[in-house]
Amino acid sequence: MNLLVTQIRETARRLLEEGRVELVLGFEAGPVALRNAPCFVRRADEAGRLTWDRFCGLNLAVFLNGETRRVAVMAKGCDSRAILGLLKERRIVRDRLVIVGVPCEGMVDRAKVERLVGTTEIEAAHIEGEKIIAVGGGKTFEAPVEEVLRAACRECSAPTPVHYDLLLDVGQVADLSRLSDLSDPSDLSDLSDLSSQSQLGKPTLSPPARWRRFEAEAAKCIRCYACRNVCPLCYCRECCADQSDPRWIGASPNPSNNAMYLLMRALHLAGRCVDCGACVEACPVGVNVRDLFKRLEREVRERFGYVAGADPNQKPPLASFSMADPEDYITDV
Amino acid sequence: MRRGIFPKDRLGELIRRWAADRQIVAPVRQGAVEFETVESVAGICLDYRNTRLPAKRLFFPPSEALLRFDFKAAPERQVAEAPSDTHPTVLFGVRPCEARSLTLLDCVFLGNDYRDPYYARRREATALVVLACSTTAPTCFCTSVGGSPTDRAGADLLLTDVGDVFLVEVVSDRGEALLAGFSLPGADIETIERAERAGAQLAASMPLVVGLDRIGSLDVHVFDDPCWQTIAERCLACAACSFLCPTCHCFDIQDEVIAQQGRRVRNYDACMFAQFTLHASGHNPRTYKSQRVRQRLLHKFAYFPDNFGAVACVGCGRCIRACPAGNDIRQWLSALAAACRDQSGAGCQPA
Amino acid sequence: MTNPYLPLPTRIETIRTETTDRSLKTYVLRFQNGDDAERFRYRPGQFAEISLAGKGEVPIGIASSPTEGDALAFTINRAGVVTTAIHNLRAGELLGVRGPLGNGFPVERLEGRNLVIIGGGFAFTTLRSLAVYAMAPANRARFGRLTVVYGARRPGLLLYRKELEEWRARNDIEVAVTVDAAEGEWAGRVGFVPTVTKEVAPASDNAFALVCGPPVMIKYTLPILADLGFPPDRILLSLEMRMKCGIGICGRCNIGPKYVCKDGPVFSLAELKELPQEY
Repeated sequence: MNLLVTQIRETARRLLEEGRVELVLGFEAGPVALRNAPCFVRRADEAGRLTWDRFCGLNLAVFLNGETRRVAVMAKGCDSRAILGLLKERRIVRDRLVIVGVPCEGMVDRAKVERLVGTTEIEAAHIEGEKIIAVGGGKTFEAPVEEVLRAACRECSAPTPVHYDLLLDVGQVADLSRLSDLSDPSDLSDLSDLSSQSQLGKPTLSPPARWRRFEAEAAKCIRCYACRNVCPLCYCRECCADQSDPRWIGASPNPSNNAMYLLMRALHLAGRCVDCGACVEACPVGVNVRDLFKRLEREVRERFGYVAGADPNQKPPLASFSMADPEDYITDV
Repeated sequence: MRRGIFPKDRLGELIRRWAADRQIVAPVRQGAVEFETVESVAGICLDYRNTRLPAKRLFFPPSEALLRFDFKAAPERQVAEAPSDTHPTVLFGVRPCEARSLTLLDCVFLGNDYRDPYYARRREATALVVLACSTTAPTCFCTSVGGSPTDRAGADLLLTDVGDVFLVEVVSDRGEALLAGFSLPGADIETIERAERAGAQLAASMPLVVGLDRIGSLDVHVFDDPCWQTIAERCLACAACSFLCPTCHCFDIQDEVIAQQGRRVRNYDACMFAQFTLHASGHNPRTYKSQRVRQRLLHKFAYFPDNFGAVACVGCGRCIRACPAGNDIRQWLSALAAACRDQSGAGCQPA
Repeated sequence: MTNPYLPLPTRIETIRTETTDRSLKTYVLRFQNGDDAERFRYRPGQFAEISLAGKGEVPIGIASSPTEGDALAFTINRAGVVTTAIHNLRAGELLGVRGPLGNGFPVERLEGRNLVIIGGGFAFTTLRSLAVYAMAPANRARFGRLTVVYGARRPGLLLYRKELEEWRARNDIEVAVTVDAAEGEWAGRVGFVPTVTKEVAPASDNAFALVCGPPVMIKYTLPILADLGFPPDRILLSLEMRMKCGIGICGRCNIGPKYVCKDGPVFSLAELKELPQEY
């Protein structure tokens, strides 16, 4: 990881010194363990603030929305996929952006570490080789990093960016694909019978049981909109959840209104969500929103052969049509 | 303000006595630790630093009906105050910072020209049994904002853990009433001194927010400082901080109707949201994120002190833990304290 | 304990459409309970939250003067969900009223002074309250010269046209009504309110200027008043802000440490200069 940090700092320094960009967007150590903070570097001599490790879970593309300055961004796989999405939706000017591809080995899920340690008060954590060492509640805890990776990372198809201007090279790159074949012991999600868990032989839930699980998640939501605001693809100036006339989505935080909010977001992100997991990480009360989005991602993939952020030349499914598009919802011709 | 010793193994009896005619709300561990209604001491977790969600939710809930509408009734009787669901309650095992936050919310909801009856009813019905802190988290900074791990502000009873027993301090008449029927043998000087020493050591061990120890509030002239742009850069303008904050109190009021019934509710709102101050005309005094970040910080550290003589922050650190973008209010305050000093030269108002 | 969120029931007595485009209507409301009427003691410049159960509330300046009896008058602009629903009501239906709210004009400080009332558009409503209050026979002697400058974008948007005519016919008040652009049979003044203020050139000696209007009108009127010699502490403005509770608790309408619903909506220019420029 040190080699990566060195390369990130060197690249940032060079880009700023050469005047190729005015701003470099990356990560620096955050105020709490297990979560680094976005870092805005404007001067070459500040490049030393940048760091990189397994706690860089935020999707930096969220800061690029509508950005008109010349910016370089230290993008891991999912970040670059989100950037591709924003480019297709004309939210960024391509030639003002320098995408520095950072090979990713997967990010740690803070909630998983908290569950394993048994407290939400983790004071410090660091990675040693393939182990994570966390200190909290007066105890020290060790586990293989694999066990505390984000669910999204375990299923990531492209942790190393395939869209970039520069690609940092540290020799061997992690292959996360083997993890998607393994059952995730600490992953509590089984909301969808179509998620990969079901393919691994985990029991599926009946629809009423699934709805109850979903409502239990929705009941936790406090409508802080952290999930929405952290998502690079949620950039509407007026979100329909905020509109009062008509009031599409009830403002009061109760299971019914919250369910509408979560469903609305899932539908609006269909074919656009790149499954970075930043929303799950951002939620202060641990609502698992990801399964909804996965379900829709699968629908889009199967019906339209489209995966968000994969192919720069493929038109988004909602912006195009083909005569071969499925019509099974038309029952009477 | 008498003090005495209460053995921990008798806590169950005390809870049982209270539960006879009161609701008991205490910290319960279900993954994170949160306040729940409990039936007995068995479910209570006291081995924790702080609950994930703040105690303010028990007095100022995230969603609360103010009025109820019945459109089938005669016109003059269609609108009425929503029925109250308040019960006598003991909030047990709450931290000093949380109890203190309620005294600050009292300034807004009770100390005004207008008394908020919904908040007032819950406050009057609830006794606070505060558990002093024996450890702190790296995100705690109560001592920087006028509090401490052993602060008794807002408590009816203050409990300090000293091994097999609690050192109990009766802070109010209501606290005294809670102990009716239980003896509270006086504490010996040694126990008291040991507890006080530990508390003082704990308080002293907490790093102070740089610059904040020397100012009691921010100079409002920092409003025009250019530092706000940079401070707000990482902020995503969500409300994770505001909704988890023990002292944030902004709310929205909405009418909800289904068929012939309805209600007027108040829901949490946040000055961080873009549409918070949006006029019907389209004019918005706080269009930019930096203006909203400025509002939040100055409200807590300049305007509230101006109106009520205390900062509207208890240093619980929930905002720091919750922020998805790694913002740290302590760093903001240090930057602002420095800007304050630069501007006024003579320094800011003393604590 | 009185519940400050509970609206008091009033019945709509009359509805008068003020403007040709029907966007503004004046509602005269009468309290259902005599006690409520008794307790609702207000002064010019205050406002109330008008409540329509099921739709919501809106903060509206009180257009009537307390000298006009127990009924209250509110001139309401159709702008959003609640006001549109109110516009669809008929005489005889009920509305809720919460108030009186806000500080109102500092009537005691205005006694013995000349009053220069400057209004634009539909912000004129609370200024009407003040003008009527000052002209009431019981009150007139307590105030000096009364001058009114009032303008709207076009004649069809002027409020209280008949009343303005009646005021013009009086000899104890000077009235200058103007429009930005003439239309139809308009034979009166044409010109923006700041320009007309300059033409009327009210004397500033022992005078207070009370200004209500859209931000752009205020922006151009203030320098005129400064030139005429009005000091900042004798220029009073009534501000508008998005409001919800109206009682200084929900945290929404603040300018610095002041809440527009509670410490305002009337502020002197001197006070505003001390506050953050964020409104």
